[in-house]
Amino acid sequence: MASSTTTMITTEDLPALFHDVTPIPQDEGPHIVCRIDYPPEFTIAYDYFRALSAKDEWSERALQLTTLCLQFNPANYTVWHFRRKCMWALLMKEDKSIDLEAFLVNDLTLAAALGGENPKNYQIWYHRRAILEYVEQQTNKELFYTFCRRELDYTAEVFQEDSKNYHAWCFRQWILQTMKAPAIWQEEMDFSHQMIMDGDVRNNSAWNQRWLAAHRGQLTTPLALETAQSEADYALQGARIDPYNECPWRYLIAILKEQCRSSTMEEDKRTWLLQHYLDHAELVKEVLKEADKDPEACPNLSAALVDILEMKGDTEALTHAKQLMHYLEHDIDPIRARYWAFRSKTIEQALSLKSD
Amino acid sequence: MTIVRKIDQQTVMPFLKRTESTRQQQRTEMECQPFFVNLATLPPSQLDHLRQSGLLMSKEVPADKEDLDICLLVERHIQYLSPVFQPTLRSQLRPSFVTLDSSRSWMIYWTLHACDLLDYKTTADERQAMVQTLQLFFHPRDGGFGGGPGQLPHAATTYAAVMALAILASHERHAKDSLKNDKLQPSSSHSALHLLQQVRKPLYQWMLTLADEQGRVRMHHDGEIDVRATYCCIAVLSLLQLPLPVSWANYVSACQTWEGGFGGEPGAEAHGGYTYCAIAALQLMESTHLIDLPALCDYVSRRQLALEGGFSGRSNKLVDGCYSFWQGGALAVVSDLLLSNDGSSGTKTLTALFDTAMLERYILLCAQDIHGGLRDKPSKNRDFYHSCYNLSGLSIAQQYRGIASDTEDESVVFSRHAAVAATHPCYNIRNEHVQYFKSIQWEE
Repeated sequence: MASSTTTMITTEDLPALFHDVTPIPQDEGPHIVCRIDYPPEFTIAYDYFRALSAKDEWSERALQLTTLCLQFNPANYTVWHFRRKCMWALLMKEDKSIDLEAFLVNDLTLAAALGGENPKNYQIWYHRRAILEYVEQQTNKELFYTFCRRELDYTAEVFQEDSKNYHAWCFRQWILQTMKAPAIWQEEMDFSHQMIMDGDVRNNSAWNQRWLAAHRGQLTTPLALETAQSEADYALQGARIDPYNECPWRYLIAILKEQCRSSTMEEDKRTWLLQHYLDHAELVKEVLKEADKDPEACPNLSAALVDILEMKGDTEALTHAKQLMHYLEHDIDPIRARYWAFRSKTIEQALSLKSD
Repeated sequence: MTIVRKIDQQTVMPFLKRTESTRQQQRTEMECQPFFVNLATLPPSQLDHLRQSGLLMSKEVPADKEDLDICLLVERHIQYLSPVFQPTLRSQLRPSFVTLDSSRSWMIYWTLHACDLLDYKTTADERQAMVQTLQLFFHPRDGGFGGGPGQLPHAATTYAAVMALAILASHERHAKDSLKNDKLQPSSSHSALHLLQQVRKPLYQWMLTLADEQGRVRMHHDGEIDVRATYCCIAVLSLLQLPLPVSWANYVSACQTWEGGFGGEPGAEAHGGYTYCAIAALQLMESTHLIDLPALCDYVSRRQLALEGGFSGRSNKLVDGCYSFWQGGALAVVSDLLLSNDGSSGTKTLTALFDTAMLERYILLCAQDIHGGLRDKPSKNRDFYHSCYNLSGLSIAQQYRGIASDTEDESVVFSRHAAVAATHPCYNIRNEHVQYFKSIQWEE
């Protein structure tokens, strides 16, 4: 069975294979716009597709036809949907003649082939997810994990071609969340670490993955203070590699913000935490000095200082933040002049409230 | 756009460590930089070349009062885009377009809306053919629009079809007014408004079946879940005055990330396209109180690139003309909320918290293809999608110019030859169409 589904058919095979089927042409109407000059092979294949789809024929030959149709247009979600109907129907057959694993792996391979080296269409990624959902619901945990592992490897392969492939990262996150295996998150910390530190320290997708992994998939639960500190330290380590890089600074600020918003945070702990990271962020300027760069002209560093100072919120901190913002607005980040002017106003309001 | 701001201060993105990201960024800066020349310093031969190309007005004024405003190539853009919605065999799309065979309603919307922004007036024939075509894309059994005849209804192609029909309905009304009931009335069965009236209820019923009990919306039955689906449904429901399932807002707000922007689903990386969908949907649902607006503002304003002036889709990614609208539009909505801009009154000066002049410059200089159509960046080919969203972004930039602050010195001169119509930041069709649809009394 598995071998027959992998057999690729061509348009020439169709009349024989579907000798009992009357093709249905596309209803184009007399005055249609946005008309595509379809290649003849495309029209033949899709005419048969319409015919099978109209009678809900979820058969092996229908499955083969969808392969052909998807080769012409892998973004046709209607064909993908019909293909899955065929797959599930064939797998439901009483005689259990199909090797389920081989059958499904065949489709994962097909989806990968249709996507090319850097797959970016929604349909092929959703197809992978639908297959894994099927395995999760219809088989045992062991087989599901095998598929998950295989798919994690597949995303890693895609990252070699494009380390920021959005669909691949989303899919990877979904797998991790669905596996519900606590140990997987530590592995994912290592994976994102490799992508960031050995790969590209500016890979924001990898930083985003680190956030999810550090939170063990629980996005609405703030990190424990200890973990938060180690993540903040990690961000600073990243910032020292390249202080101009936005990712580690935003990561640092997000970690601190999350802690400060957490209701369990005591006031003196909060003040200490912010002062500690303010000092350490300032220290990153040394890296710039060593590289013979102006330490005061690094927008992402200064913006991070502004955010920490604003969180601190005392008069001295706000006044300092205001100075930095002035410099950002007029000198080092003029493209965001309107934004910095707006934030300056917010700070001024906070300051005037304090002086009242 | 005579002047490039502070030409001597053009800042490339600085870095200490070379990585794949910095290599790509440098390459992109190098391909954009040649476009950012101070035109006043160019030798006459090069200016002549620009005039011949159409980017500058032809010479009719004395040399000391030279008109150096870059032109929007309106005629050529229309020439490139309008054949898509014209019912002639001559206008057929090449066979390679089969990969867009499930996005035909999108192609109609992209090209029609883009031309509409350029003030193109559709003919009665074009309107009738578009309505007939979109009618074929409607799925009578399930209740939404697909990407082509017989295809399953899909939230995104439904959004595209309904917005296109809304544009057409508004055009129909103006055509009627100008004809003063003389002749050439489109028979009512082929009118866009009539079709919308027919599909309005089935659309609503179908959309409700796309959502689960947590308010997550699928693109189609057995299709992917993400905030694009939520937005596409909400925009359609809102425009057609159908009830908004505001409980969907919680899922949208869960997609706001640690960066402040929104990902496609909870946990996913913040991204311009999803950020737009999220904030526009929340605004239409009047649910922006659920999210961290200042964080969102931080995120989107950071996406504007210092040298290029255009937006990137994500942190440390490259400029792309389509984000002129996704990010620019998102920031317009955010700015309306944070600055209490009054979106409804035309008299007030709208301001958005980004550099609108720099965005205009990117679109006019880097994104325009000299042969018509607009593109991602100079090294990429034009296409319908990028034409639509560059022009939509240009429209946002022009509406939200605000009053130049003291930091934006007088060297910022806007082009007088690039005006486009005002698009609505939440629906992305012209404001006047939205106004018209707010006034419609639907038959219940």
